[in-house]
Amino acid sequence: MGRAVAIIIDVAEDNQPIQPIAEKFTSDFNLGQYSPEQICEAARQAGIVGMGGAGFPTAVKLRANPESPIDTVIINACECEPFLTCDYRMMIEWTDQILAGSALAGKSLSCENIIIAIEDNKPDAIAAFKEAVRKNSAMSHIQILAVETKYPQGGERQLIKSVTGRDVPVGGIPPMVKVLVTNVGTAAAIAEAVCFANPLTHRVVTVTGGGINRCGNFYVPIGTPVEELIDFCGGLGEKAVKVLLGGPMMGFAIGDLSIPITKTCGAITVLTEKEIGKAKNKGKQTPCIRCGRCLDVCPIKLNPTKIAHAVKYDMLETAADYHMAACMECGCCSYVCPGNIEVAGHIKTGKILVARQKKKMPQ
Amino acid sequence: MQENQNIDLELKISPSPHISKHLSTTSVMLDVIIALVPAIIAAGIFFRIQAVVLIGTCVISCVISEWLCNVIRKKPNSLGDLSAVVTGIILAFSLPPHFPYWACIIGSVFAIVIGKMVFGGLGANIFNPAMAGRCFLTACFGAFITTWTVPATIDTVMPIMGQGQTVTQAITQATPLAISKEAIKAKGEEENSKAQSVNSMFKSMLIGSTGGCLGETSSIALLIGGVYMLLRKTITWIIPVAMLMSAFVFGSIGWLIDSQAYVQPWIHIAGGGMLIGALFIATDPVTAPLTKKGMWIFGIGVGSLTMLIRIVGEYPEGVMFAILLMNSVTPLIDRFTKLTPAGGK
Repeated sequence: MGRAVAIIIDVAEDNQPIQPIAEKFTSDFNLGQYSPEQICEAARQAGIVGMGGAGFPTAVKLRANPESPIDTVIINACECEPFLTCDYRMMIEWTDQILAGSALAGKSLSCENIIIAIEDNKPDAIAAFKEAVRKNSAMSHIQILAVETKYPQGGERQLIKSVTGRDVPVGGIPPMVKVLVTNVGTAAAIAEAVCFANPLTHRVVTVTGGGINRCGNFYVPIGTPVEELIDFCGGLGEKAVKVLLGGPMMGFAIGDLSIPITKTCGAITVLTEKEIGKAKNKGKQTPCIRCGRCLDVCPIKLNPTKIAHAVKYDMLETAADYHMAACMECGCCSYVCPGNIEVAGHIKTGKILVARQKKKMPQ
Repeated sequence: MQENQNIDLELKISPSPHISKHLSTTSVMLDVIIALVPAIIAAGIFFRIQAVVLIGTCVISCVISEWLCNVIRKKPNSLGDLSAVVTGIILAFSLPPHFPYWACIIGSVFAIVIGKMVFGGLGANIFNPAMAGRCFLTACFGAFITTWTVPATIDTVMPIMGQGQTVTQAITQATPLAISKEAIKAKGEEENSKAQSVNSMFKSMLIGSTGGCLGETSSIALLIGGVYMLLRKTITWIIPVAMLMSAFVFGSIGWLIDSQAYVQPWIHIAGGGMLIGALFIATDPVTAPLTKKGMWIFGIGVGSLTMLIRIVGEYPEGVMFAILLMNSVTPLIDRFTKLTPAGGK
């Protein structure tokens, strides 16, 4: 891991605290006054990145490319990671803002086909969006689509397949199938940047898990140390064994709580041993019995056990041959393994080792 | 800023995911053992005390062999995963009811030591350990392994036969498959009614009141166990379906060609080790392919080879050899059925 230089930006007393501006967005939002160039530039100036976790610069995504036109914009409102509710609360409380951001994203790419995809375990969010679309005639081109609740529905490739039926090629990106996907949080940030020229300084973070004394969704300044947020929530419970940046499936376990909340960190999950499971927490791995459960659940249709064991026995070429690079690190393989094997963990290690090798070798 | 309360807490770091389905190898093996219980009960009903002796001997020998191997190799005790128990039960099931105890012990030791531990323990073996053990016994004690006793539940006036063993509770008789083999050998002869006599035994083959190896006779008991495992998702449905379908097709071809010489195809399904092989042995995850396409190839291979041996070959029963042969090509099948990732060509 290592250490990095951090800067502390102190804000003048009377500018604190900054509140969300969702109520400034109403059902008579006028899309016509913004041009695609304006929208792109505003996103760039505000420093917006993909807030669903990928962190890709949004301005680059929103720039229309005549050689690679987009015919569908999907707003990812799935929030498939268990325990997380930050996107859900935004959908309920900032509905018009998200709708405005979605429309702006579409306008920026000159695309009228905009679909907000929500997992069907959030019926009130679906209803809220449908109502908001109904109230604003300028948003009638935005469709609200309920998709099956199944992890990892929120994964970009999986969502594109569910919504449009198209397969993004291995190693490729969504524009290759004429689709753009962006998170609801990012859409909200786009609206704020374009309409009010606000930079991206805050995000909604879910604090959850059995090991924290108070759970909730909080509007947090970027850069807040994790320990401050945890203290604000009453501190860690005595049964806490793990603190994660993110959710339980793809979150990153941390030991140093002075790490800051970044633009892409959607949750702090504090887990107890009971939630993790005794066997998983102990970490005792038993041999692979080649049951094939990991192959059954892999969303990318890989052979996770083969790749993981190739990495374990230092056979990185074999691992690459079995498409290790295509792994989306969703964690489904480790989740179902009867042997308690860290399948996803080995694959992630393999990817890092390959990346390091590439760095060392002159191109 | 509030004072940190978490200085004394030890936080754990490990890769994601941090939650799981709480499955374990032990629970999977336990499901297999539970699925074998109906067949154990059936063996107890039809073969009485012999069933208990045989199963007990094999299981205990397997468990002790594995424990000793772990001690010698200085590895942690692996008995907790219950795979030795499963091997013991299946090996016992594949033997005739009055198989000598000392031979059971030898077979169990071979099954565990050579069939599994020498390769590196559970997960590393190429051949199904129970079948490896039985194969060794077939090679060394061929006479014992082809002497079957009829279940105690049958009234019969046949004279007592046997390899010098005093059989007080049961008598020896040719199994349905053995009679089927004679029917094939007598092909072309007039008055070849052997196949017909086997066909009429179908009902008793389903229940289990025929001769045969300990765990193979009661088709219904095995099917109950199979359904349990399918519901619990312990085994895949592909291998049993592929194996039984291809066996049925082959059996039908033979029967349609010459119904005097070849028995009806469902006799082949209910007879011998076909069902126990399809549900419990060929589905052994360690020795079967990983990919779904591979499982189809494997299942069809086992079914076809079994029927080839049964109909064309010298042995009346072919499941063991078919499974061992397909086990040996499992790594090749896996390599040839490599998956294409989603979105790939």
